Amino acid sequence: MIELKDITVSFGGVKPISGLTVTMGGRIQGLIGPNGAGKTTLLNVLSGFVTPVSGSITLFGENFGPVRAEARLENGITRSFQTPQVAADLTAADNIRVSFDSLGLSRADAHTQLTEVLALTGLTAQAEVMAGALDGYSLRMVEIARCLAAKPRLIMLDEPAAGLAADERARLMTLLKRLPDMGAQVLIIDHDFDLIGDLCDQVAVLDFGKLVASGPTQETLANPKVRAAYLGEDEEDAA
Amino acid sequence: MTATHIQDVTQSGGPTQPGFVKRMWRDNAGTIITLGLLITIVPFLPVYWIRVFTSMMAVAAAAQGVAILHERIGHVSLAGIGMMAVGGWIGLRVAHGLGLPFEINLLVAAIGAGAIGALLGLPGIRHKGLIFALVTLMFAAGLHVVVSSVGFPDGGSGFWGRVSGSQERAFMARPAVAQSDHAYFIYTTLIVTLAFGLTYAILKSSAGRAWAMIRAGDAVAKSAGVNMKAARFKAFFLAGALSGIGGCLMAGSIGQLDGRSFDALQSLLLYGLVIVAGPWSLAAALIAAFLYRVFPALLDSWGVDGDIAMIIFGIALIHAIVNAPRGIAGQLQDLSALISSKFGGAAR
Ligand SMILES: Nc1ncnc2c1ncn2[C@@H]1O[C@H](COP(=O)(O)OP(=O)(O)O)[C@@H](O)[C@H]1O
Ligand SMILES: [Mg+2]
Repeated sequence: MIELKDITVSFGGVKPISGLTVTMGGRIQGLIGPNGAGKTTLLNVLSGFVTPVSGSITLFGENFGPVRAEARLENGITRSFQTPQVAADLTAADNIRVSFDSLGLSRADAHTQLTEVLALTGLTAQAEVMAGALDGYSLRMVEIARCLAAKPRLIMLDEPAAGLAADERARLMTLLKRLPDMGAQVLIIDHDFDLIGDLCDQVAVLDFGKLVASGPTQETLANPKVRAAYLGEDEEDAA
Repeated sequence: MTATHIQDVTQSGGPTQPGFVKRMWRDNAGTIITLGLLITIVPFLPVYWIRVFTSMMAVAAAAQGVAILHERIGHVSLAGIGMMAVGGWIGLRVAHGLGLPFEINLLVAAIGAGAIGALLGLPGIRHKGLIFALVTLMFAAGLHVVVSSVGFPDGGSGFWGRVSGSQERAFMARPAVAQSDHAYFIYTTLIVTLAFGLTYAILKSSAGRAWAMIRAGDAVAKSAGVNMKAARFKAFFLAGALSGIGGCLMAGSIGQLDGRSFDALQSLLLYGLVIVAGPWSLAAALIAAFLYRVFPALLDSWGVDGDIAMIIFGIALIHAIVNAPRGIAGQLQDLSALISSKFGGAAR
């Protein structure tokens, strides 16, 4: 459960997010908006990389404002990146082990959980492959596996479907649909209304750093303001 | 299709990681073979060359520290040789002061130099870039001034351990098992091999994984919960300890150390050679130390002015930066791959 109140982010006067108040409680929560709307910036706020100049961040009822980025993982707050970020000179398994290291798991526990997470993300066969040699889909899976290794409460994915083939996309969606039952809220950024419509029970729409709409997916996607933001139509014409 | 995919991998059981020794061999075959060759061949050379190779092995330990800092956490250490002086100083001081076994001196020198390395690293723990390079360079230069005026401990009393007046300068005792030059070479090589083995084990441990994440980027490292300061601190400590081991081995080789041989330019040279050698590989330390210590001695024995080595190194550095980003280690690896593929082709 993500509760943001009056969040403003300022980069030397430019405000990619201004006065954003929104509650995002979907089991699979969508976050959409045109390029430059501030979606990635919002993820950076939620993961502690960007400190807003004002506002409060409450995750699962706890104030996360003062929690450092490095400490978010152990608090169950995890994320992936718009361009997959892995250590190319570590194996897929070692990339995932980093999460266990951070949590201080015993070798035995780490091994058991690694086995589970690899199986869940379909990476077992590639466990010992250097991440630098993996294809785009597998890189996405390594990132997701690294998040899942922390048994997260929240897993935030920045355009995880971008650049995937249709079958890979289907596999990703199957995996994501399983996560809420495993105890993780999913926050997913994507541009594809079909994917968001299929996956998400709730969606929030950003444009120019402001909330356009938020609520149950079908209702929100049908909102003329949302279509206007996406299609660049004049709002009054659309309404 | 998705369902079967997940099922398949579940049934295949846990991830099977090759054993540590197997991985060590796979990743470091060149380094291990080179160390083996050195240990078998060098003891048959004339004493002069045995000593040259002993000091090469000592420098190799320091070079490994420089390589770790550069490659793993992106820091430039310009005090590789300077930190050897620290290790040598501690080793000599403890040896003369307490008369403990050589191995204990070595351990104390490693820990002491590791601690000083970590201390030097403090400004670099928060920041990337030039700060650490400058700090280490100033440290190396300052240290040179100190050790060339005060000198290294040689059996005297007081903190500095210097003899005075007509008192005779004492030599550091070599380990009981390695009194002769060739035994001491083998001893040194075994210690350095052990140190490299430990370094490899650390690279494969949580510390090594944390360094790899830092290399991938601060953001991803933090998002994976990596404690950045602790990870950098460990690298600085390890690098200092490796140099310290090298310095103490050097002191044991000669018995005494001369402060004049530790000027800051030597550390600068070692850094350049580590880059030329290709610090991604553990072998880089051996290659750099060979170029630093053996190559000039070879030129010298051929009657070529040793300073020519500097010019060759300069050209090699430019070549490495422009054409061979993986360094000599990378070129050797490509060569061995080429040879084995040729052999494989001939067999078929
Ligand atoms: N570190 C930064 N410094 C300055 N401006 C930034 C920075 N990060 C993002 N921006 C700007 O903030 C706006 C929102 O960017 P972003 O959050 O990446 O959008 P989205 O992910 O929705 O496409 C853009 O105009 C971008 O140029
Ligand atoms: Mg973005």
